[in-house]
Amino acid sequence: MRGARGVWGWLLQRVTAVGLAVVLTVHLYVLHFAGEHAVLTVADVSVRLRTLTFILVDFGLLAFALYHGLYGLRSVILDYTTRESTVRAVTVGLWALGSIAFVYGALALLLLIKG
Amino acid sequence: MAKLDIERIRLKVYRFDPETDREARIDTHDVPYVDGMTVLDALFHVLEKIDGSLAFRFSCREGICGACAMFINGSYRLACETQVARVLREGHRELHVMPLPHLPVIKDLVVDMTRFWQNYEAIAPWIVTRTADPEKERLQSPAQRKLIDEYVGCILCGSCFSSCPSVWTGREYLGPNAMMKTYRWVVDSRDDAAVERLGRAGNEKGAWRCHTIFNCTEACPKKINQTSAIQGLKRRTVAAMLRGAR
Ligand code: SF4
Ligand code: FES
Repeated sequence: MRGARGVWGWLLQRVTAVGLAVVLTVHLYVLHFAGEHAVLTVADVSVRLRTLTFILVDFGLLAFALYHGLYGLRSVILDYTTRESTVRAVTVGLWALGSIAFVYGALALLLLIKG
Repeated sequence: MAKLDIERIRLKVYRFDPETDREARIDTHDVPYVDGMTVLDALFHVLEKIDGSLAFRFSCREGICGACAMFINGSYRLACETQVARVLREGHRELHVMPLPHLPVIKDLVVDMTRFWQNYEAIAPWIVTRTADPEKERLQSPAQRKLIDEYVGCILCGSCFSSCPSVWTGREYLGPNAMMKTYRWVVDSRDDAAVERLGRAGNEKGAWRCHTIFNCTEACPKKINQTSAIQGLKRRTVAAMLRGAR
């Protein structure tokens, strides 16, 4: 399909939107509505994070939010220029930024999981 | 529409001639009011009786050619279809007539539509067929025709283009009209160039630049939903890629 560009990027943005709706709902429900509303300690969070569900929810939240947010930022930047070289530079730069942020966030989560 | 008990209407109209003026000004005229008068009639009164140098576009005077699209009392409207009484009934006390915003002014209410027409031409707004011509005509069922009903109503007035923030910032953006028209051909059962058309619009200068702001839909005097057509383009582009279209 000659001329088509950015199709998968856009599709992933839609997929992460659905993902975010799911994991954010779980996240907010667990945080604000489920169980007793006692003050949580780091140890409590750590215990909760050791279950597969919460590992998936929290890593999912991290990945989806990063992709969705950075894709939005890219869209704002591209509103001002669609020059091929700039688009490439912006895309590479934001992937790098997103990857670093993901590793950083993942390390923080792993620390919590270890307790 | 019930009669208005007024004799004159105050008309404020944008004036600017880039060749002679350093900045724009607003001229005020009190125009005799007659029942059924449209904004275009009021402009004609100024042109014929007060100031023959006022420039504005018009042609059909019945909402078909799209030439008279202007920004009237804060809304995109066709001057020939907008009754003065209606504007007053909205709560306005006078008429404010401006050119289509965000487009270069050639003179007064006449704007430069070059980019709009170039984008329109770029999407090949004509039927492309790959089969032998039929003896009489290419038939469409009522259901097939229904898919394009809304979009063929477009009169190319440029209001949607003028109202779109992505057009204001993105010099290369196709704009809502060209994309809506692309979709119109993509879903036309008689056209054989859907894949090429999707390729032309499914990129950073096309569909992905639409942020679903809906300004175009609100601006359209023919009530066409360009945003939904653009969403249709996005969906069909993804579907074509997933099918492995080349
Ligand atoms: S879609 Fe509506 S606003 Fe846009 S050019 Fe056509 S008639 Fe005018
Ligand atoms: S003069 Fe043709 S649409 Fe108004």
